[in-house]
Amino acid sequence: MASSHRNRTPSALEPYLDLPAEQSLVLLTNTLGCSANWLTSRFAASAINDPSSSTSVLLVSWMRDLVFWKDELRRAAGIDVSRTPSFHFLDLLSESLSPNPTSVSALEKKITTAITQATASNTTTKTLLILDYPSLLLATTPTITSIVLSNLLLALRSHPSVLSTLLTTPADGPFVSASLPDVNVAPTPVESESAAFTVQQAHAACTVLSVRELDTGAARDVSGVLRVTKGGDGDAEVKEWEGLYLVGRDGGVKIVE
Amino acid sequence: MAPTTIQHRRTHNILLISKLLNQRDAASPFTLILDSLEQSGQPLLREYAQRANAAKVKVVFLSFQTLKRPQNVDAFIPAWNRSLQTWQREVAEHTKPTPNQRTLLLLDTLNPLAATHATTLPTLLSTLLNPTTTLLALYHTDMPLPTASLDPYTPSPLTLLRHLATTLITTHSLAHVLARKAARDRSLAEPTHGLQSGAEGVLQGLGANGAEGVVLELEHRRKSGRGVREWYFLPYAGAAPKGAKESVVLLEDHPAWKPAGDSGAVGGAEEGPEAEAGTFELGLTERQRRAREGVVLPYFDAQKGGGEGGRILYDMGEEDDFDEEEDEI
Repeated sequence: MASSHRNRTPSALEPYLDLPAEQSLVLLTNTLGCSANWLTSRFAASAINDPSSSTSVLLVSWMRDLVFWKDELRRAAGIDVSRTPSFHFLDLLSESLSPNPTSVSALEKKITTAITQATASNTTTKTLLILDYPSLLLATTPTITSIVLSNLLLALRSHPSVLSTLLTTPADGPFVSASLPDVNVAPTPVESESAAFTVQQAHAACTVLSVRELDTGAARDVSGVLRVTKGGDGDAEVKEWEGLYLVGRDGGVKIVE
Repeated sequence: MAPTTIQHRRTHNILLISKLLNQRDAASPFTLILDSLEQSGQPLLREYAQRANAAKVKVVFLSFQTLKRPQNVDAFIPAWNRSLQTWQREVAEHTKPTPNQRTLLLLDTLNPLAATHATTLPTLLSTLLNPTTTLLALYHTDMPLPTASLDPYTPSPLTLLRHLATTLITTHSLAHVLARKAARDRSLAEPTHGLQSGAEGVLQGLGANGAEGVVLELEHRRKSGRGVREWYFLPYAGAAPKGAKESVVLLEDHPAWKPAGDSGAVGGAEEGPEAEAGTFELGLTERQRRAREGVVLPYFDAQKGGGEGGRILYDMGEEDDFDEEEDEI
């Protein structure tokens, strides 16, 4: 399993997929035309294949269901999640779209329970928490503001069983443009909430990985551009990197020189 | 610019930043750090905490965003999971005035408070202050406030904070400052980075949060009301020159700032960046300056002669015809 994982991920990217330092946050942003799911699943695979094997993975997704992630993980790293006890999944997609949204405290309780379950076995002591698109809540639930959501994240990240956290958010223009004041156009509430949340998380992150489309548009031999930069939380040393990549039909990723 | 003036400014302004960073004589009761994704203000907070620790000043850290307790901090209050009253009480407890004990209160970000207490923020902050406590707060300039909290008839929280602060420090990334200067020197459009560039999917520019150090744009308001503006470079602990008393240098003294072969004689340095927006060069090059110094003005000669009454001083040119009877030189 480990060898196939190595073959499917370019060596240039491997240092960035290592388990993040304790209590730290890694921010992964993508755009509509350029998905970062291949990176999310590689982070999960890297924790699953961690040689010390005391780390489990809890993937909380507001965007996709288990069927989708099963397929992604198989394609990315050849991992069959039904036979991987250290992989745990919490589906919040249907919940965030229900007409009676759950309260923040109920949501926190639900995720905390899942964290406890993910570290329940004897061999695992810590879990890598992957939060996939929690910013969807800013649009679907009126009571959840960027401050409420940021504080929820802080509460989850400070849970004693959480090793570190990977957060994925969109970074398309409409989600972040409110951070630049424009005298002609006042941002809508959801625009400013999204921008405030995304920017604050980037300030709190140790590493920011952003994928975006090529400036010249879609190409057959390039899927997108990956940029790795150092976030606002300055403890860790991060070597910045930018390059073109191609996600193949089989799920393998190549760096395009 | 005469070399003595630069020397003078260097001495004064380095002393000033040193005084501010080391919390000497309570030089600034409320320091506001404005940062962005391109250069975080966290390294500066750490520098303050480290120096305060060395000076035996008690450091209280009020966290709205930070999970891990930073180094050199005596008390850490996670305000994000406490009610306003609770953390206010805790802060009051930790900053209680005691003789011969000064306290530095650090706030890792003011944005959540600005969002929830947009108009009462100055009052709220002044309740945290007392004669032995200085306040150092960070504000992310690229984090928008919720639209609901904004009243069109009151100034924005950032305007109030800027007004209230006795010292304003804006952080910049060294790589970006140098890139902008390089473009300016060639009269090219200055490059934009990160969110400013407006590229879809870009949050941070390359060169953000560089490992070498951080550029500080300082605006200090003295008690008299006079403002001092200066640009500095603060190298990180590992990169600082050994044995130097103060590691902070003026930005123009950074080796990468001066163009090669020009030893800093361009006079623009003193006017700072705002003067560089002009369309002509008001400074002198090294050669022009030397030529100007070489000119002897007439009254210098008159002072040497002295007391002979009226006399015409005239230097003979090539084309002049010398007449011994009439001319006396």
